[in-house]
Amino acid sequence: MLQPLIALAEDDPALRALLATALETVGYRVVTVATGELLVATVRTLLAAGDPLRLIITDVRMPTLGGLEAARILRETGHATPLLFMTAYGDAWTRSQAADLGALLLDKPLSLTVLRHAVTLALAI
Amino acid sequence: MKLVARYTFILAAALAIALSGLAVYRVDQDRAHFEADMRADHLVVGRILQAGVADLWVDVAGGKLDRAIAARQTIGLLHRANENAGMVHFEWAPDPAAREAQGIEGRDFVSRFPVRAGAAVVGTIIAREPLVAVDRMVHADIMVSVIGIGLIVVIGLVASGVLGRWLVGVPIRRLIEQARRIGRRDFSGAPPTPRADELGELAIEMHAMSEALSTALAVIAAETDARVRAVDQLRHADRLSTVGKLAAGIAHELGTPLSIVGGHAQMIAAREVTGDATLTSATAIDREVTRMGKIVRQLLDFARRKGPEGTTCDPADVTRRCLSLLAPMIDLARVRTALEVEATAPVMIDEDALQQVVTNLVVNAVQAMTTGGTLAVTISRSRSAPPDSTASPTPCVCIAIRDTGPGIPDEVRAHLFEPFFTTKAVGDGTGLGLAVVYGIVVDHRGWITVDTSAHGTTFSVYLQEAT
Repeated sequence: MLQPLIALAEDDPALRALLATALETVGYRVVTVATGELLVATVRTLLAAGDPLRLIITDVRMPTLGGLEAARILRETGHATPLLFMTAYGDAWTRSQAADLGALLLDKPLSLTVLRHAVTLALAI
Repeated sequence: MKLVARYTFILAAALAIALSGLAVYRVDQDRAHFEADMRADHLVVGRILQAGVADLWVDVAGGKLDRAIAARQTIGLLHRANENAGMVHFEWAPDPAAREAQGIEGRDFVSRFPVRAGAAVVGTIIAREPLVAVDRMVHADIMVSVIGIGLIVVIGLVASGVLGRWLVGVPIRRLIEQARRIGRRDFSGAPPTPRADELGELAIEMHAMSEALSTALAVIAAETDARVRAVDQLRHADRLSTVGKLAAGIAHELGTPLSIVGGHAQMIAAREVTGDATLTSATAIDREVTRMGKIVRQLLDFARRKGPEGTTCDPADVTRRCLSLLAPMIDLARVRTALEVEATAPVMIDEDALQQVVTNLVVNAVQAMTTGGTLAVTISRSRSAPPDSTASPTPCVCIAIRDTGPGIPDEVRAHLFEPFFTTKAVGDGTGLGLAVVYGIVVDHRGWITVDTSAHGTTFSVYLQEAT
């Protein structure tokens, strides 16, 4: 059986590589992208190809198109894949935006243990 | 329906006036005809009687007949004629004076026929016909005309009303309703059924207008929505105080490297990475620690900016050195440099601090010229005081750094010297550069002015001359 597929958007290459490795180590398949635009395009391509994308993990602040905006675009075009946000500065506004999208929000610095638990939780919903 | 009513009544009135004129003319004609007929009838009968009576009176003249008998016979003859003549009444007047004549006398039409016996006139036959018949005829004519006109007007009114309602009233009512709907911003109207007249054209144009308006309003609504969202985000950004921004900036700058360091450490601890991969993790940790160190150093620069007391340096020397150090970066950006030293003097600042100021300003100026341009640095002396201050002017050296970039928008200018405010993409700048510059200059009792337009921006650093 195929392992659950996760899309990961993070503009920092080092953190992106680390998170992908950390998730792959515990058995997930991970598609990584560096920008919000690429996230939107990749999710659309995956879903169009019939890949069972189970979760989207995205950084909130990315150049040009942030995670919240990208998620909003995907929701508006009818994609209902569960969302998990990561942010270094999760103020009330950011939290309310994430809650509006029905998503979990993790604060940076990230603990890999917390991330893995959050992913398990998000996939179980 | 006022339009149709007005149109109908005007039409009916015009019809009534025209038909009445026609009727009056016809009544006049009829009366003239009637009179002409009467005249001709009187003439025919009158002439016959005239001849008959004349025969009688010839005998009187010839002495064969008594005058009184002739008169009696004349009256008898006329009496018989009266029995068959309808409305005409003939009578005998022995009065010999009259000539033949026809005309209206009072309420009668009267014809006089003089009767001659030989050369003498012996009397006159008078034919008298009351004009009552003409009056009756005229009356009947008028009645027929009035009834006719009335009927025509009524039929015209009804026909015009019905047709007007059908051809004009109903379509106009529909157009009015559509206009009201558009007024209420309800654009749900179905496309009009085609009609080959101006109202049909108007309906089609109105429908097209309604659709165009609907599209335009949708566009405006979308734009308003976008603007509201933008304003909301702006408010959110504005809510953060300077301290908040500093905290957010530090959190943002340190959050990612800390995640990386922590993540690698956790994986090593959990033996998820082994062998060479551990080395990779260690390298990553080292790189992120260096990155955090740099951020901390910049923060310290921001916090502790003052150099040793009493040191001085020459701004021209420092600027020359900065430009030569930055030359490769400036060339890469296709920017030409021009340094002009009008006048220089030692200023109260240590060399490292001034170098940091000039370097930051030059790098910003070069980055503002994304498509190349000219960087002009001018050093001059003047007696100046900070803008908006009451301090008396003191001898200063001014380092003016001018770029030919697109200028600084007002909303950016307001936050220019705030820490962690940056217009650069993540990773390109921390947003500390100008805040550090500002802090250093102010700490050395100097000031900075910014002059910006669509053709470029000039940052002028004023530092007090060493005494």
